[in-house]
Amino acid sequence: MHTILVIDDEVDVRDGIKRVLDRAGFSARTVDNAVDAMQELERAPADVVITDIIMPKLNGVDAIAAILREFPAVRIIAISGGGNFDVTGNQSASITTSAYLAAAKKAGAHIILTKPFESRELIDAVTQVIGGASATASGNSP
Amino acid sequence: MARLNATFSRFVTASVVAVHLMLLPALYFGVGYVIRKSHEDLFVQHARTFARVLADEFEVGAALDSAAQTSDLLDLAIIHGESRYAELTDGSHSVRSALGSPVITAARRTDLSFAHGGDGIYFIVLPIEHAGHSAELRLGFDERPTQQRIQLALNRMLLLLAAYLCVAVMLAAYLSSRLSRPIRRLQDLSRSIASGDYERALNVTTGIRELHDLAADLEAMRHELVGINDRLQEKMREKEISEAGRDELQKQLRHRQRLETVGTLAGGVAHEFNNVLVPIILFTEMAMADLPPGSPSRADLDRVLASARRAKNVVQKILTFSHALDDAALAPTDLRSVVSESIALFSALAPSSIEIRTDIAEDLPLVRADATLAGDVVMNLCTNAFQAMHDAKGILTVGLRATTPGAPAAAVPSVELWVSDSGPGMEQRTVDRIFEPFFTTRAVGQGTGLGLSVVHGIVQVFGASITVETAIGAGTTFRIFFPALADSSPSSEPAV
Amino acid sequence: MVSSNSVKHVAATIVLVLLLGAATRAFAAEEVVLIVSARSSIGQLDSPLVRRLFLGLTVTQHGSRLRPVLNEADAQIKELFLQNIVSMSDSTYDRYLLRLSLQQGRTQPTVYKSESELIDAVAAEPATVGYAWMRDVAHNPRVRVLRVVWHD
Repeated sequence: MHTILVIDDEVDVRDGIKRVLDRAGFSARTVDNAVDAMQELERAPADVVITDIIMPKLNGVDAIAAILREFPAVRIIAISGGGNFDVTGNQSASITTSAYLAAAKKAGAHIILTKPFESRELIDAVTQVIGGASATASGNSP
Repeated sequence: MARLNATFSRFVTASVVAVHLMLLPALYFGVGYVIRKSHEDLFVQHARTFARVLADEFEVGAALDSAAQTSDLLDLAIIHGESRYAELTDGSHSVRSALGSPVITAARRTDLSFAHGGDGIYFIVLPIEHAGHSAELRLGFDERPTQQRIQLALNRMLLLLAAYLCVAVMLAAYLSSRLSRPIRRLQDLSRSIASGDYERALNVTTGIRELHDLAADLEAMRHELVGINDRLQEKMREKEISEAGRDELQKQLRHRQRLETVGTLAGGVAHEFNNVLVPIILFTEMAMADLPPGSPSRADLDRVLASARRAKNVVQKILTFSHALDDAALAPTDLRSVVSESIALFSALAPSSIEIRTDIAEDLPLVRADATLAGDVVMNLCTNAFQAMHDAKGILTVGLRATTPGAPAAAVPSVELWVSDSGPGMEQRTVDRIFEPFFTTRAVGQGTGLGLSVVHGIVQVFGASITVETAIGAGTTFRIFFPALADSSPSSEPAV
Repeated sequence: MVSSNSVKHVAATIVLVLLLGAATRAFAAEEVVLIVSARSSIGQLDSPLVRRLFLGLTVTQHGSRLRPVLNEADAQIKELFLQNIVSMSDSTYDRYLLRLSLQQGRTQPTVYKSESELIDAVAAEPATVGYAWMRDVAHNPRVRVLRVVWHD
């Protein structure tokens, strides 16, 4: 059985993804930030890491780079909500989704997925990444 | 002569009358006294002289010796002396003139002044010395003629003074009315000025310097007032215009800000929104999967999913919109190709009940725009027009032409893009809000109300302007004026 | 009844009559007299001479020129003088004297407004001739009455 670690600061997102993965036959764990994720991986390695790249505390892109350094065999699926980084809306220039996704790719993510995605898209992405291919299958174009 | 109802006239005339009524009696009595004294003095002089001459005649001559001569001389006194009584008394013997008035009895006394005694006779008694014995000459001079002369003179004077008073009063009335006429006119005009009528010029013809100067000053004041008034009105108009302009600019600014806010807010919200949508979609899918086949709840949950997907689109559109504005790549663009492509796309999507016409001019200058966004504009306007005509068969017209400066809404040479529909038109209330984000007159579920605000935002980025012409029952036309590029040559090739 | 009322009436009438009588008697007893100084040697002056004197014409006696003075102590004596002595009206006499002094350089006679001053002037100067009420000069030793020029 393949293990998957889900990193997202939104509890409903984490639980939703975990449930879908569990029903699909995977073993999924969740943490809410990248620091805890490192510790969790040290405790028990995972095959796939699904991580949000826009999070408070630690930049998701940096997290991806850090994880791959430590665990180069891990497959990374980056998920993103788009929009501005500063959720209060004070930033005049928005950082586009495409910019995020490009950064994530550069950091080493294998697949990019944009929120919100459907169960099918999620499972397909996980299956694909486990299969070894690092195609950029995403529900929506950036 | 003007009516004496003006207070000034009446006052002057009354003053003149009052003054004269005080002075004229004094004058009358003063001059009357002089007249009287002069007449009386003349009378007394005449009486005394005559008496003296007659007495001397008796003293010197021999008349005393003859009664007849005495009588003759006494008669002379009556005739020439204007006497009413003449008597010579010599001891106990007395001769009296028969020509005198018979009723007068001599008094022994002598009068020393005119009207002494009040009997109308001035008695003079003179002693005569003749041949050693004394006699007495008594003459009674008639005062009445003199009194009558005096009275006549006084009456004449009275008449003269009365006539003078009348003339003076009439003159006063006339002069004061002549004076008060310009005053009244001045008052009239200044009252009209006070009540706001500045137009009537103050021209008062008068020879009186003070009034003339006053009129000139008032006229200068009126002029000044007119000038001030005009300047005030001008300032007010300018203020109105600038305020209107400012209001317009503020409106545009607010709209712009709102769009920006919407974009920024949307951007900020999008992240949260998308996060929220994830569990909605995932858990709903799982719930559906767990339902037994044929369950009626499946359809319900299906609708939930559909709504969630649509929500996703909305957020996407907003983000696309705000990002697209920031990413706009402005370059010289040929609108003709943009329009023809957009129309081709639209007519593929639109139902055949809509007739699409084009009116695209040849030889249009290039404009500074982003071809993609320009295409979005055309698409949005066509979509909006289509939705306006949704029930009826309609005609959609898209046109392009060059405009000259001076045409409404185009201060510089421009290329005008217009989209007309034959729909029901809009009320003014709707037109005012039509570019607001999320504003829509359509029912819930039919469109987001973002299309026209997208158009507006894009138009602003291009530095163009957009106008709306509409009337209830007459359809709607949107016109966009793109400033033409100066050195652009009309081209039929797309410049994107 | 014969009361104090009628007594008063009678008394009042008597007083009135006496007063009236006094007034008339005063008038009736009056005389205007020519006066000269008691020291003067002026003889009689008849009426024509008196007239000439007071008309400002030259009248001499004993080699000396007589000098007239005018009495205006009261209006009555003034008018009597004008009527009986010079036979002119007041203003005519004034004009006459003025003409005299302007044209012929003669001095106008002095005018006295009080009889005491007049009497003093007459008494002081032997050549002066004046006129006054008899009552004023009757017992004055300094002046001599020449004759009566008027009596009622």
